[in-house]
Amino acid sequence: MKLLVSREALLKPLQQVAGVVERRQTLPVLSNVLLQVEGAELSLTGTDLEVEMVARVPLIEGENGEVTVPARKLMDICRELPDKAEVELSLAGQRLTIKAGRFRSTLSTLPAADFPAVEKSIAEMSTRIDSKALKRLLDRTAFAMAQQDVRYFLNGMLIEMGGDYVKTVATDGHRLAMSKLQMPGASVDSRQVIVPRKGVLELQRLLHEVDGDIGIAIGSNYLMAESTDFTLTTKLVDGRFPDYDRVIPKNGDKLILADKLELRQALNRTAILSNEKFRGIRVNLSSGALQLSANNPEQEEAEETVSVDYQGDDLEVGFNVGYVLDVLGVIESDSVKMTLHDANSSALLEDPNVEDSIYVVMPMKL
Amino acid sequence: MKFEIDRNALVEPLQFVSGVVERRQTLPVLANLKITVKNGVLTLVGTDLEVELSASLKTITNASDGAVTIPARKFMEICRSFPGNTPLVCSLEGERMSIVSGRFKSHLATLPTAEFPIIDMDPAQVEVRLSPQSLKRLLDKTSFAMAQQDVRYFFNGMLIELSADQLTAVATNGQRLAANRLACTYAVDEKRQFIVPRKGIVELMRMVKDDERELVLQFSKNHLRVESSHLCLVTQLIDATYPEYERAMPVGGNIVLRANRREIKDALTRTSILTNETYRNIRLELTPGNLGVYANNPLQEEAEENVPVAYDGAKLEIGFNVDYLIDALSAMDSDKVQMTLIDGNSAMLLTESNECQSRFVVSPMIL
Repeated sequence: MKLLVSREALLKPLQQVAGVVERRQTLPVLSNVLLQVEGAELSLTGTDLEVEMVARVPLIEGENGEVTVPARKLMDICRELPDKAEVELSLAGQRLTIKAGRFRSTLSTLPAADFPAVEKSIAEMSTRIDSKALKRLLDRTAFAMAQQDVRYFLNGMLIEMGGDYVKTVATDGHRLAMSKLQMPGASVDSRQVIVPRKGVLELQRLLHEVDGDIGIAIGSNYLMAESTDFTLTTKLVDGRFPDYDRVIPKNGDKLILADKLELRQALNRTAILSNEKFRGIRVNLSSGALQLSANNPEQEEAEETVSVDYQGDDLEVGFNVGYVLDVLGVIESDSVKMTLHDANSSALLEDPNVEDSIYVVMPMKL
Repeated sequence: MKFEIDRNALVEPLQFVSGVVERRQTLPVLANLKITVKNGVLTLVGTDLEVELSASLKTITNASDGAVTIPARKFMEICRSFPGNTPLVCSLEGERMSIVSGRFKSHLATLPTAEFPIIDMDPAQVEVRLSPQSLKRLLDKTSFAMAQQDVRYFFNGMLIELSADQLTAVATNGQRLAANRLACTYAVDEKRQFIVPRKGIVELMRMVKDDERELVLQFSKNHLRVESSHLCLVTQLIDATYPEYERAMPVGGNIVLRANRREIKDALTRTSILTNETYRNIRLELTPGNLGVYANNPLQEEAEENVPVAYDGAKLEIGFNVDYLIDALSAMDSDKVQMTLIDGNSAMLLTESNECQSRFVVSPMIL
């Protein structure tokens, strides 16, 4: 195997692929990246057995062959080479030699045959989605995924395909985020899958680099996203996602419209004196005003009143301020719509101008 | 106690003073700042018992005298959370400090000022005046070589040596050393040495801003006090005798090479990727006109690069910890570097071109 490539063409794809490679792993070959040259194209593959990323790089010259080398070292070397350097990689025996200008090094290798491939059954459905729209869908919901929850199916995101729409849902049991993308004219088989947390994060990273459409294919145990230069395959979580529709409050009768920035700043300020562990904040709603207050075990307290658009009965309810702030962080408009019912009901938060996403935050006893 | 102040006037000094407050501390009052209003001046003080920082602000209005201590981090976060020039009203209400602005109200817990430790500085023996630019440059080029948590506790700091016509800053961890000199004159009849602890140096580097006019450094037997227009730092000194650093300087080296500093640094950075991760050893091979840089690791992986250098002597081979070389080359700001060697077993001297205000020494490693 031998190839000649420009540093700029190699570096970014290499960084994408190395991102999947975990720092510590059980099998030595998992810290490696698989290099495969075919004609004038190099494909790079990194995996952690759950998520696999393949990048395709155009070469100046190539001689067929395949091998695996340490991902991080190859990336570090590539990054430290001068701009516009031409990099030559060649396999001699068990070693891969890297040459660029006056720099030369050899890396240890492991045989390509040892490199685990993610098993892919036949795709059961496939579609094409605008990559920016898909990215937006993920960005608006990913924050609500659980992390290392024993209910393992919460450590991921539900992706629901249904006829002419794609919907993403994430929840950690205390809050929920849901976003929907209408695809007029499309007719996709109905399908629900749970993509694991790492798969979602890598997909977000990939979509950041991609323009135009991206192909999505789903098999019985994987989801694959494919662009011209990259193919990301992630395993699916085998589990039943909670019935999200039942979590969405429908009896809300207190409609509040608030300025997002003002509310966010007031929440951030009052949160400083909330209990550091529970982060509870009390919300007192009255006509035209939302009063936020917090206190901590040191008897310190803060309160701030925000003007809101509301007419109706008074209500006192508590929330984890972190969950509310997370939602305000992804809402794009200047204002936010909140729907409340009573002190024991979840709050429904929405972007008043874009009705494709809803957020639910459970109340907290204070 | 009461005062009103604009958020922008308060935030920067507050961040400076709070910076010294440790996240975890033994005494609850060490998490607090001492806030004093006296004769229309607001003074903020933070401490970790080793270093004390203070700021004085005259831009307060509606002030009434008094003093109290309040949680540093929370006070800072609240102030910072307001936009631009929001006016803040702070007043002591019984045992609690009230902070009010617009429709925001809050109360912070306080502790009595009597519990707040203030460093009692003994009379200054020497006073030095420096421009912030030259002090900043001196610290930037020396501080990287300080040790961290070394049992030889005097290495966890920086030596400041004053003689009749110059100030020298020295830091070392025993394997590499940085020494930088500044010409200046002041009244010392004999050579004086002071060791400033690491934390004092770190805070001093935070304090020095280019736009300040002149800094006054006062050394006493146990303390260093640095004062700028409205900020002040007092740090304890390390009570020890610093090793004679001049003896660590390699003398009589006649193997001299000159090279482009950036080129050598980049070549070292690249090859360092394949050094032994624990020892970080790199081999240099000097031949006329060329410096070869070689690294390998236990996996038998290797890297090499050849850098053109101005040299026409005999062949020489020597090993170093690559990080020490990169650190020294990064601290320099000249285009060229000069390296002076004695033989393959002695320390190397690195200087910027051929002047010697800044000297960097790195001990060799047996390969």
